[in-house]
Formats: sequence, structure tokens, C-alpha cells
Amino acid sequence: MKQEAFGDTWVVVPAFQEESVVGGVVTDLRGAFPNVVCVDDGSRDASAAVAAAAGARVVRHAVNLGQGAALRTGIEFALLDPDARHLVTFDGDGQHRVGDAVRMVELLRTGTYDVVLGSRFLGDATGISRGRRALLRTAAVLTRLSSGLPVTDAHNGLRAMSRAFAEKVEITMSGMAHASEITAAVARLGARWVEVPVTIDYTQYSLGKGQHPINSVNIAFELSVNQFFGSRG
Amino acid sequence: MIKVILVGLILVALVWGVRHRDDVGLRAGRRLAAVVLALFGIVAVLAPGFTTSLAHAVGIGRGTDLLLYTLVMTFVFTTAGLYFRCRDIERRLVEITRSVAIREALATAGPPGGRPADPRHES
Repeated sequence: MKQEAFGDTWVVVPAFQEESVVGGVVTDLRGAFPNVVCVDDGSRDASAAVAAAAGARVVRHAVNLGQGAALRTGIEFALLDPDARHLVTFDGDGQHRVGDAVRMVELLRTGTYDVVLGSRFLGDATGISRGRRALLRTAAVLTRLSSGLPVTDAHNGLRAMSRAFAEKVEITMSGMAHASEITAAVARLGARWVEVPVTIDYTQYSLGKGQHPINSVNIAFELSVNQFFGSRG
Repeated sequence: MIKVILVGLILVALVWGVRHRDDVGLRAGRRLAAVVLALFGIVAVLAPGFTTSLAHAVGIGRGTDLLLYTLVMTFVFTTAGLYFRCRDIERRLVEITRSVAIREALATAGPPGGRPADPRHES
């Protein structure tokens, strides 16, 4: 019964070498969302098979391209379903909660917003370290300055968006810089957006898989190069 | 003052070169520059005094310094050129891989949602 309720929603799960957790993530998601597409970003482990066994549609990149590219592929695939009205992005490492995603899609359904962004700083970041918190806060401030969007969390993988927004958002950065690109697209398209508190479960696993703080230097570099020299397909 | 202008010109040339990196004229220019540099190198080896007199002519103390400047500039432009070239190639790799992935997924289990896909994407 509950399954049918979200028949118009696709959940995009990017996964790279997540065989030990992605099965659980997909199973949990399928408890609420019938349509889950897992983009296996060139994993050399059994991530694809595990996700498929758990009931996800799997799209496989032959080589590892980065999370931005994986999201793009997942979104493009989901949009091929003419019945898809809402799209959710949900990290494959188990740091998000399905309940949060459900609330976000319900909010989207009210028609008040085009984009619903998850923020761990409005909610509860379980097990976050002081350094990581400071870094993410800084990233949020920089995003705020560059996009003019008063977000509190710039790099949260949990988002919900309408079909119309998903069709228009252009993710050109293959790596982790796509998060800033999405907020920039919200600003550029004048989309109606809101941030909602979500819980991030920082497990030993997700911390190990997460971005190293130094990657922020790479993200900043990629973004400035893109801004300065233009992005080309 | 002349130094400020020179450094400024170098930066402008770098940015302009990167922005117009597909331009035919620029590509030809790069190749000509490579030939000129090679000739310059040959002359510098055969007639060591030449670089020094050339350096004096443009207001640089020693011929070796002139060589060093040229080397540094060539290195900077080459590195920038290669960086952007790699970036463009990577973009293409991303497009190919993504498109293959989607086609493969559609071929193995059909369009998502069970209804026929958007005709634009059908192979």
C-alpha cells in the first residue's frame, strides 16, 4: 500500500565500492519507494549485483567517473520514466535515513517547492567530528557567497527535486564539486527551494568512505577553473 | 613598470590562449612557436654568444637568463595546455561512459517504470 504511494518517485543512489552496505540501503529504500536506480560508478566489487538483488535498477559505468557523473546518469535514467514526477538523490553508503527522504518528497508534493535540500546542521549529525563540522560550515558559507543561496549545508547528498528542476539542472562536474553546482542551479533557475533537517549517521564506514577534508581544495580549484574558463561538454 | 606590464601580458596571453584553445590560428601559432623555439635552440648551441647579445638587446643581463625565461614560459604554457586538453578528453570519456551505461541498462531490463521510454533516447 505504502509502496504505491511513491510510484511517481525515483530514488537515485550513486554507489562506488559499497557492496557491504548498498544492499541494505536499497532494501530500506524499497520499503517506501518502489523505484530505485543504483548507479554503480565503476566499482570493482559486487556493488552492482548486490543492489540489483535488493531490487534496484542498476546502471553501470564501465569506469569510475565520480559522484557528479553518477548522479547525472541516475537522473537521466529516471527521467526516462514518463511517470517520474519527483526525484531523490540518496548516498549509497548508508548515511541517510529513508524517513527523511519520505518527508522531503511529501513536502515536494505540496507543490510549494521545486527543490528540497537536506541539511545536517538543521538536524542531527550523529558522530560528526569538530573538524568536519567546521569544514562543512565553511563550504556552506562559500556556497552562500557564490550562489547567493542562504544554505546551511552545501554538501549533503540527500535532496529531493521536481521533474521540471531535474530536467533543467546541469551537472557538468564529474567529481564532488557537483554539490555546489546544484545549489548554483537553484539560484540560476530561480527555483523555489527549502532546506529541511535530516539526520546523517556518521558510522565508521561512512566516515572512511567520505571525502577527505583536503578534497575541498580540489573542489575549490575545479569550480574556479570552471567559472573562469567556461565549462564545455 | 615594464615588469608589471610583461607579467600582465603573460597572464592575459595564458587566459586568452586557454579560452581560444580550439582556434585554428592559435593551433598554427603554437606549432610555429615550437619551430621558432627549436631554431633558437640550435642557434644557441652553435653560437653561444648569440643568446647573450640577444639578451642584451632586450635588456636581460645574461644569455642563460634569457634561456631560462624562455624555458619557464614554455613550461607554463605547455602545462596549462596539457591540463585543459586532459580535461576535455575526460569530459568526452564521461559522456561516452554515461551513454553506454544507460543504453546497456535499457537493453538488459527495458525502460524504467515499464512504460515506453522517451523516443529521443531510444536506440
